[in-house]
Amino acid sequence: MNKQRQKRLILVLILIFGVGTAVTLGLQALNKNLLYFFSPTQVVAGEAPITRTFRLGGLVKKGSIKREKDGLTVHFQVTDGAKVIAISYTGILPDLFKEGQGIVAAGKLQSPGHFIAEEVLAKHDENYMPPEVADALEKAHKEGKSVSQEESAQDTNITPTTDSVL
Amino acid sequence: MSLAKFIDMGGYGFYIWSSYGIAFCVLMVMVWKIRKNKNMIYKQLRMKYKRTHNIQQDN
Amino acid sequence: MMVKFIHKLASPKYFYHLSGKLLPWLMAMCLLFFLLGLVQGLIYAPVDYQQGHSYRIMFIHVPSAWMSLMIYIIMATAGAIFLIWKIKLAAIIASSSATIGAAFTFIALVTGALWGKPMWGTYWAWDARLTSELILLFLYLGYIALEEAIDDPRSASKACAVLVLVGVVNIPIIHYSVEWWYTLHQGASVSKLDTPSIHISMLIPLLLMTLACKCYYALTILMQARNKILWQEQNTHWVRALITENQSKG
Repeated sequence: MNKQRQKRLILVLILIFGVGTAVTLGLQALNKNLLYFFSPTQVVAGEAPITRTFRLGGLVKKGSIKREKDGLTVHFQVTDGAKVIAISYTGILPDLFKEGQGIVAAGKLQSPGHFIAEEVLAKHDENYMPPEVADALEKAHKEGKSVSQEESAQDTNITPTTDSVL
Repeated sequence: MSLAKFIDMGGYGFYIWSSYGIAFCVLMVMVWKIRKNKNMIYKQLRMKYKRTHNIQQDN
Repeated sequence: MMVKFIHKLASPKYFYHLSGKLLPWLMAMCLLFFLLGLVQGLIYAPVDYQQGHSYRIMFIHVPSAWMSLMIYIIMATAGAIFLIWKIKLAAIIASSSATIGAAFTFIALVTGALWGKPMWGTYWAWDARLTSELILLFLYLGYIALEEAIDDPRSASKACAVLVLVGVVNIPIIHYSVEWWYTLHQGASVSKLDTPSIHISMLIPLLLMTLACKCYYALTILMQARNKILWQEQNTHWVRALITENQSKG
């Protein structure tokens, strides 16, 4: 490689390295703002901007969904496995909304632990399989669980998927 | 499986077929534009060569 | 030996002739893989346990998104090669890729929106994954605009190479955004090493469609590069001979 090519190679490398560093530093500064939503733990810890609208994400707690008679208003709880926050929402829910589903709700905290949502989005995981396979997996999972220590139904439902959904 | 059921896709037909429709339109327009571009280049170069050829003959 | 072959390949004339022989094969493979992928993906693949039929959008969405990243990496590599070694063919490869990359990015964004509406409940969300992919589209469009704006082909290639190299930082951000930050977009299914998170009956059509998209890229980049070579080398004997020879054939 001749001198000039070497010089150009070094210039290109400096260019990539420089921009890379700048962007890394920039992203670190913006880190919080790049979160699309906050987890219940973060909200309880006071890390979310509770005075204005923000997004709260978590898994819909099993057995927590209560629908009002008008058919549009729904109350449920979201959890990240550690903390729980109650959500009230009036409007159309996405098709995927159900117990154990990851969701992201946009709205405001009315009181600590109670969130009023203006919009609820569903967040699905990255697993794709036919229903029969999912059934078989769930069955195997349950049998495995019943042999081992008995855990509360809620916990077994939340913990294994929390990692992949949140 | 009936055709109507296939098109309906469990109620998601609109989203699925418009996805594939848009995708293949974009891919096909792309190929068509490149081919058109090729024909244009051929035409222009042919004209250019003819011109220079004539000039050479005149001399 | 290898170096000799690369130098030969880098000569526009040789590249033009070799690529001409490849084109019909690529065209056939592209059509075959698209056909197989579509039949498998839209007809034979089973419904998803969570998303029903709607997940079938994945078979065009995911390959397009992969292509948008792969093409950018190829452009950046070609750009760097051009800046350092001044190989003309590298500049042609980079600039021929731009519109194809932009097309795949556009498809990934549109099909993603059409998938997001029924599943997430919204066409668009400003989360890290979607936003960084949108930035990628702007990088492609910026590249195309910059190339159009500069008249001198050499300075255009140079400026575009710098732009594409600066934008390369966006690539790891797109890829890792779903791991680094909380996003609405789910994590990666296929590149995950531990447990397979996509069933084999769905993985096969996904891979077929990916192969089809790769063949499509190979096909279109060669077609595009051949056009650019003809134009750039119009004053050479071989282009002149080629064009005048083809006159009778139309």
